[in-house]
Amino acid sequence: MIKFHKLLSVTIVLTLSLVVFTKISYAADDSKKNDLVVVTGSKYFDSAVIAVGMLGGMEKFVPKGSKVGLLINSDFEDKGVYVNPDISIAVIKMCFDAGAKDVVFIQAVQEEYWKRSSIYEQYKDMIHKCINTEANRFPAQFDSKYFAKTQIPDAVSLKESEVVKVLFDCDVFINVPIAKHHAVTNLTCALKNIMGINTRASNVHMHIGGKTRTDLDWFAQCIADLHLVKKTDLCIVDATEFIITNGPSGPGEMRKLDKVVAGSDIVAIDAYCSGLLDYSIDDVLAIDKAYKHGLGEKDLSKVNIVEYSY
Amino acid sequence: MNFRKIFRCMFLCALFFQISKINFAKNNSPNLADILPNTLHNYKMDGDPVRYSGDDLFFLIDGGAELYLEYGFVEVISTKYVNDENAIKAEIYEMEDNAAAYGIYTSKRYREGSSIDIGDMGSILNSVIIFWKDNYLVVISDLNDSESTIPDVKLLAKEIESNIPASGQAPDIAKLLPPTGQKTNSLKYVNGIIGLNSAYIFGHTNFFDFEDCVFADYDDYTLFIMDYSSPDKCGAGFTNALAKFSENKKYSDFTDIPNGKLFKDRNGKILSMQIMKGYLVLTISQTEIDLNKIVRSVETMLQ
Repeated sequence: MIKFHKLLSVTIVLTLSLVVFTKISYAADDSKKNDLVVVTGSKYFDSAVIAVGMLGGMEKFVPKGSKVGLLINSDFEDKGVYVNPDISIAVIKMCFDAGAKDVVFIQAVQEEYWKRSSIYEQYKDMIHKCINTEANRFPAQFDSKYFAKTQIPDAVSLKESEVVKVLFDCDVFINVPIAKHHAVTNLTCALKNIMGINTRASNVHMHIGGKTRTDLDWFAQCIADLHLVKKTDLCIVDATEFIITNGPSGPGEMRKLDKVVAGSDIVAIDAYCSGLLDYSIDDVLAIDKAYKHGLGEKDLSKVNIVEYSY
Repeated sequence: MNFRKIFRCMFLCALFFQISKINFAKNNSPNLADILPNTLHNYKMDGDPVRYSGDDLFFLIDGGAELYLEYGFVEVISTKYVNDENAIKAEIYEMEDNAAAYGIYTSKRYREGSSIDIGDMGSILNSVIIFWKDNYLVVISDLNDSESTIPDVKLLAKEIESNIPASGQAPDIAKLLPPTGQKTNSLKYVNGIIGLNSAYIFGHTNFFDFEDCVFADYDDYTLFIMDYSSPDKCGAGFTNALAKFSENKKYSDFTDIPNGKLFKDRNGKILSMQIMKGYLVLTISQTEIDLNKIVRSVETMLQ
């Protein structure tokens, strides 16, 4: 009788494991065709891992021995304004697990940011293994040792920018933004996060260097132009809990969707995330500008979006 | 000859009067550094305060500085008061005039905040106090968001308030929105497209061409009143806005209403746009609303 119970328990556990494994494996297999994946669940570390798994795994993006640059939107104080650190930790872990030699924070990440994670203690050694680009801390100033005046020949508006040099040393560039409200661009997500590679002076030029004081078209064009400096290999977006008003610094009204969105098509990523804040793609000018630069697809009907909930 | 002398004398007097007026106005406004108390009980200031003026605001605010600049920003001073356990941040923004300070306050206060009797208008949410007085917007926040520091945050806010002697005057247009049914803390006073787009994304330029605008949420609609320097400019603003809406595929189903148009956006929202007594009045609602009732209440306010 006891043996029967044991057998039954083992069978149930094995069956459940098989079901879960099959589900995730199926997602991972199918992922080779996925342009964009959306994972909904309350364990944000797991969501990031599942999302990248559905795209084919971090190995697909990070070759062994490579140097990976992470651009994490971390430098804010209020919840829903910065990327949940659990997601960032998951990304770092996946990079090292895939065989990355170095993981570099393109923009400096403060220790306080990591301490907001409940898994900080467990992963602090791994976090401290990463290279933190201290020279690129807000408001970053130009220093020829760390920044390069970079020409952008195919740019429409932003012909030159002061870009942090370490970006050019990276073999892989991973963009880790949060999708949230922005008073000027409406949405800030993967496209706008690129401003993290610049000195503050270059960013101010992007903000107010247009024909008029508030030239939103110029600003959006500059954002798209800056992506010509280096193409993003992978975007992993925190859309778990974010502000929908009073952005980008907040605090503002919160929306909780528990989603992690990932993909290598940065235009599709922002087009999808616009909808999470009730915007149409026309409301976010940089999407069309980036599309016109050939950086990705803005028509989501042409994008293979795979959603997974747990 | 005498006439010339008299004229020159009058001109110089007028010039002197104007200069004195400017200096007088400047002297009346306290220096930003003088507004910040040097100490707070049990706390000390964490280093020297930082100050930024004009476009350098971008070096303090990582995103969103444009909104302050759109209203008319002059200078900001920012510092932290720290002790072993807590850190309280104080920021004082000097704006160009009372209207700019009031406007940025209405944009920055929290919807769910409670009124607090500090400054010309103040709001508190958790351990954050925001208020405006004279030409200043003041934001005090406990960086650890701890309930235990709320008394310290209030104390600091009151000390700063007492260092700003003059009171401010909210712009007249702010009084034109009907108070009945208006949602708490939803009223915003704006003077450009960035502020306006916080209510609804109209576009990327101020094609209404208003001088200033006030809007607020009501139970089932948002009401906007846009102010112009003349009825002719209001008419031109209406015509230009209607042309922009008409050429945008996002909008359809245009129908005539008295002194204006009614139309829909692609999300099914209903927009009405009417000229009333030299103002451009807009409503946005998700469902059909009793426009006549709204018109009557607005007209009463505009009288």
